[in-house]
Amino acid sequence: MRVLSIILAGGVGTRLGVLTETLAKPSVHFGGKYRIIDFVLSNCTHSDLEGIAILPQYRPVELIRHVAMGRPWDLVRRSSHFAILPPHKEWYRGTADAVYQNIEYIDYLNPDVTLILSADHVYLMDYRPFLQYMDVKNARAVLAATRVPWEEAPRYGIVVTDEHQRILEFQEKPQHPKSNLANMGIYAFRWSFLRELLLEDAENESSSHDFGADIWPRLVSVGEPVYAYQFNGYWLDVGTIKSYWEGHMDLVAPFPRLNLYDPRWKIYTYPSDLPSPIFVEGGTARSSLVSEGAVVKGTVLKSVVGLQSVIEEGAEVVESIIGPRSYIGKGAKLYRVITGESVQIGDGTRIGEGEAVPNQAAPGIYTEGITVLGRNVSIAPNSVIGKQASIQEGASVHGTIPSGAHVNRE
Amino acid sequence: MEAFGFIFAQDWARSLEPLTSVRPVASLPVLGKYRAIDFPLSNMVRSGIVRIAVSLDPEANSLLDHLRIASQWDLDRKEGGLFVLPGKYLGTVDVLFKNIAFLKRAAEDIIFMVWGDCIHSLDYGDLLKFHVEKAADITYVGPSENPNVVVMNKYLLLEILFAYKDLRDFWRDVIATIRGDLHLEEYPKRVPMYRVSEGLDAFYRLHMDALDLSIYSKLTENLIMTKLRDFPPAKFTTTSRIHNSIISDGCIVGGHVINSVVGRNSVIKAGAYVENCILMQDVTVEEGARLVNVIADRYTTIRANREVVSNKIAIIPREHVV
Repeated sequence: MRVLSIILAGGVGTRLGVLTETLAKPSVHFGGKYRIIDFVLSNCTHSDLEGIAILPQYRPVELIRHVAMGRPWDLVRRSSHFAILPPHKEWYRGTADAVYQNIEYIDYLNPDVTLILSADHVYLMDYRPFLQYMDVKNARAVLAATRVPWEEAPRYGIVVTDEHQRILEFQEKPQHPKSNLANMGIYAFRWSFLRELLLEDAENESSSHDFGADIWPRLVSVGEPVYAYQFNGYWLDVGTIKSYWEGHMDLVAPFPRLNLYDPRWKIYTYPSDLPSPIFVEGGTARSSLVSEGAVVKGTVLKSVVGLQSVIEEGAEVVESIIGPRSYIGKGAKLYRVITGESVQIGDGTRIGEGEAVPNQAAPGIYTEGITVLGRNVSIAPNSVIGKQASIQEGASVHGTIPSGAHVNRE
Repeated sequence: MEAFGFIFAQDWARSLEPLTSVRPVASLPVLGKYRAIDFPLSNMVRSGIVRIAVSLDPEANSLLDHLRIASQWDLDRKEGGLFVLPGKYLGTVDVLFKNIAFLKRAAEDIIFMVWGDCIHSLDYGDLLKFHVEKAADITYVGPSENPNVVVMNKYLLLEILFAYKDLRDFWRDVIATIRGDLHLEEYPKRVPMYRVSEGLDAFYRLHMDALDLSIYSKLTENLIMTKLRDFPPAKFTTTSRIHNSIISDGCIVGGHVINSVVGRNSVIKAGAYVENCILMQDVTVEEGARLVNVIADRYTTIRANREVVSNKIAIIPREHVV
């Protein structure tokens, strides 16, 4: 069985607020040294998949550089295919349209099966049993789904199945979910079958050309037997500031639900050639991850410190995520702060103080008391910033920023 | 760059046994994540040298394994790249003389000779400029009796080789004999330089010096490349206490680490105490174990509650369980 994996990497990630202003969601940093797309690519490597096409769209530049033609994932073989296919005809209208617009490429490779994956999720999964599941069920199309907490179900595409896992109904972000089985955005289709579906969907003017909203509900409505494969491992939809932060707090927990230390399932990433982190002048860390190139002179607690970041003397970083190449000045105090790349925080600045009030620009995005600084933000010494504030990429801040405030760049 | 590189990595260095009974000195693990040879290799590559030969003992399995994937130093090139030259060599003259074909065929005229145990981060481009500006026959860096880097024209080298092929050491025997006839220039030493083959003290001092951030930054500023192992960032648990130490990727630290360098993929469990130590890679220090002034080689395990406390440096050899 020849499989072509198609990785949809066009996500804008609007609910990640200022972190995704100039960065596609798959390129967002995760776990100190990774980017979100590393997880799906590493899964492909470990699943022995050799045909990979990445379909970026929004802000593809950093993604293309990071992916480096698949070399860090050992995906470069004479027998394999690795392609990055940004829109070359028109903007992709939806996930199904992205595949439709690349029919020519897929036909050229002529796989038996297309495995559709998303670059927006953090999880470790062997795709081979999932691909076999299609044969087990003798189906032309299957998807992978996972149980989510019932109260979270309204955030997801929900799949309702019978006792044989045959899909009976789709509910897109339902207020009253009939099931807690969430669609993971992982699909396997016989290519000849998907090809027909895509041609048909492209002609349909009322379609939004999306797998979850159009293709799958249509298959169910015409009575095609399609099945849900249940995945029981850790799966994080890095869709919101809350889930992004919780994903990192999972990593610093004593027994993380996501195990990055499994020698059989390493997560690969673009190599950075940085020296090991050093702790000097009283620098220490507890319940934290500290990445290569970091210099820690202050105290890091329940936090993740990115590549090449500097935590100065007397600084305290608590329940925070520090993006790569950031600088936390002397005596600065950070509580529940997420920073993008290359953020400068001046000496004596305090962030995450006071009462949490709803964010004035996007109250649904900045929650859990977390203040988010976009990349290249610079905060002057001795500033004070409250909770649930958001600072736009490249903005310079000094003085007092109250909780819930949104600061734009000038 | 109009130069090619030659790294002498055939020596095992008796003075560092038992660390060097299992590997040549050029593949000695240093500073948590590197092997000594990463420094000369990376300095060359970062300075634009793309044709690099490494002479080594054919039994140097650890070094051969380390160099296996040339792309990790950007040396998988169509023109140039990494050339491994194995042999049972008698000395550096023998190394060069037996590989005259390589020297002759190299497209570049200037040769950079570096010993594989030299730890420094230096822009060899500046060094070449100096060599050309001084119109020197030979420019060297480091002690004049035993330099770390030697730069010269390969045709001059070939001439000298044919004339003195019966001597043993290129510098101490050949150049020492004829240096009066040559225009030698010493390149001013601007960066910290270490030579681990000098002995255990030098190896230990390198690591303790590196705990000074200004020295560590200077040693690694060239972004030294090494064999990738793709570990996650170092993790510190609720019980960890760290003081003045380097902790590498893949480590999980629950114990107390003071003035130490901890190599990749090591585990220091809760209640363990590590002071003034060098843990290479893949070392496990179990609960309540206590290590002071210890060099633990790769794949060693210190069992729970065991103590290795020493006034002078104690070595736990590779794969040993204490």
